[in-house]
Amino acid sequence: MVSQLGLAYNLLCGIDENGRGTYTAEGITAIADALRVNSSLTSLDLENNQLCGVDRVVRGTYTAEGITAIADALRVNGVLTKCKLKENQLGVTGWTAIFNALCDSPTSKIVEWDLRYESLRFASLEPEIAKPLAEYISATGSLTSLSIGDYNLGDDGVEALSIGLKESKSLATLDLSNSYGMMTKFGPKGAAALASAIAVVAGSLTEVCSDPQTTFSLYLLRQYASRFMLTSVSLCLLARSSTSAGMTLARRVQSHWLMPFASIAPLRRCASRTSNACSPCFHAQILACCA
Amino acid sequence: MADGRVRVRGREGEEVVWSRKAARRAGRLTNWLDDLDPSEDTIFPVEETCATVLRTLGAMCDDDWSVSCLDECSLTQLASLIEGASNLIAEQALEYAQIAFACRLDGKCANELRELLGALDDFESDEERVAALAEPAFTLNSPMPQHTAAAALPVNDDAAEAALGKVDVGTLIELKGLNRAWRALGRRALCSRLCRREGHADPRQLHEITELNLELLIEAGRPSEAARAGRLLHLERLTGYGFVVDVAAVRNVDLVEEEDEEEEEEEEDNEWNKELLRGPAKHALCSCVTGEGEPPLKLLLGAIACAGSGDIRGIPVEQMRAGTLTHLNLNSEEAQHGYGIGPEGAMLVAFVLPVMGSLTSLNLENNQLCGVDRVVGRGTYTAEGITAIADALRVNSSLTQVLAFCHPEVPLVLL
Repeated sequence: MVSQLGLAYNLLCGIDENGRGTYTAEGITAIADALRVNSSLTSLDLENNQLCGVDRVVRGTYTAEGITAIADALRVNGVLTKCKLKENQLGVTGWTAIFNALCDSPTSKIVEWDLRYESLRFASLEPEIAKPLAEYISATGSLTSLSIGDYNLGDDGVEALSIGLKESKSLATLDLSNSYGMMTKFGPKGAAALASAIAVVAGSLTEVCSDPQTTFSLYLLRQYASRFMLTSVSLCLLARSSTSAGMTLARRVQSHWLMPFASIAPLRRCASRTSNACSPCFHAQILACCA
Repeated sequence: MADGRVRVRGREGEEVVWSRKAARRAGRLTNWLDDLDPSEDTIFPVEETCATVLRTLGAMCDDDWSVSCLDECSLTQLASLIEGASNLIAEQALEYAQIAFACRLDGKCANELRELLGALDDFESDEERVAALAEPAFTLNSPMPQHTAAAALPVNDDAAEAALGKVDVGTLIELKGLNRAWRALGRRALCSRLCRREGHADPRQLHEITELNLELLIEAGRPSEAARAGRLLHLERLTGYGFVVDVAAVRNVDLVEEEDEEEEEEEEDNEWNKELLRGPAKHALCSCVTGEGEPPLKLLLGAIACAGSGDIRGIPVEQMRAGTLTHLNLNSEEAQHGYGIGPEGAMLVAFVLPVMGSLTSLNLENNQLCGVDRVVGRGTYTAEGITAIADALRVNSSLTQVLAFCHPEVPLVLL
């Protein structure tokens, strides 16, 4: 029986990639209803279906009908481990529906969420997602991986997220790197709170990814250097180091900071995630840290 | 008799009086009256029916009787009325009782039905119960049945089957999950409904099934039975919606689309064609179907699911029906053709999906499943395809285990 189903790029709600069309939730509601009773599907890919009626630059009219149906189904589904919803511009409303539903779910087995590729046009609302997300992180015992780098949480949002993170039971990977190549927007206050929360759950949170230029990265590096808490904190700190100079630098940092715990393998994996060269700014920061 | 009334004596010897008009609505009484001397004052004996049932039937056959009178009857009482009406050949009363019986049962799941009917679950294991629900709808009883219908309903076998005469196909399938007696009765009723062929005796073994009513199965939400039948039976005909499909002819249809360049260019310039069936393939398929007008899409897709050969728009329907595929990637961007399978292709996939017991991953990305083009938004939205996929996903995963012994080389377990 089918355990993996790919339904990405099918315009399940009738809105095309340019935000045109008439929204209808009939198709996605049918899928949601099936999820309530299906007992074999462990992975469902619904990427890029404009599930809330808007395209990636938020053209169209936002409606939460379809994603609410999915959220309600996830509340009772006890089989799915992966439900890919990224690039649907779910916004705070959509993701909040998901997280609130899962907070209440005694059966959910979802192990990962990827919130990247959300439109920046939702930026003004983005800090609001921190609280429901934090509540979910602290409540769930199944979530192991979370990618949230495209959300601009701000200091207050990151502080709220950090509270949930400290109580995390299962999170092993936290990815704060930004898929649009922009720095995550929070300052020293948020960075300190996050680094502090990571220190609390360092026993289970073994992989933290962040953009190299951020204050948070520096906080994390300093913390890491002094306490050797994480096993592969370098992953996305060195993500931009795809050039030979970058890799040389990466190895240097690794030898300085991570040798007892990290391996070169995850470093390479992360380096391939983006083609951007190592920025001068990043060089300076890393060298300063090394010094 | 002389006063225009007819006296009927029931099993216990008690007499019941019917109006003459009511008596004329029961075949056996009519025949008796026709053979009787009008001046003769005789009592008609109905030894197989109790007086209470005869009294109710007499009322049911009268003009001033209301169907709502049956609301107070229990299911057992309704079954007795059906038995009595069958004995007397009282067709109108029989139909009223059958409809009332069906109304109580239709739309309920096995657990609800078990409680409603007070049936004792005597399956040896959960697996046996699940298998009873998941077995092909056309599964037959053993030629030497171990359970009589009386174990399900306190009436004779024919009356028990008659009691299910108006129950919908989906509910009949659910009834098989109650216990072994109901499984036997459900199989019998389903076979009669789905596989009976005019002029032929009812099939007693799978290889004797040559006709299948696809319309009843599709409307009951079991379109995948077409693919199961294609795998397990030697069908000659599919019927439904007023049409008859020649199954052997469908096997020989070349479903591969052949487009000339002109048509292809026109398609690119104008509108993406979401129709799965068109051109020579559609014409060839329709030539396998007899009936008035154009056969409905559901019937054609069912015919392909049952007997289609090769591929259609990249959907390997024959391989899918065989049930051996473990991965199926229909992502149109990775396929030779640039367009997706569309909503009609999704329906076809959904028709076969439940019988693909080995399938673990299905990729339907980039397929315009709702009929709308991804980038330029051409086409009209329809949820038919994605809804069909969703319906197929509702099938319990335990079906896989059952399908394992539905493989053609392994005989169905007939209990």
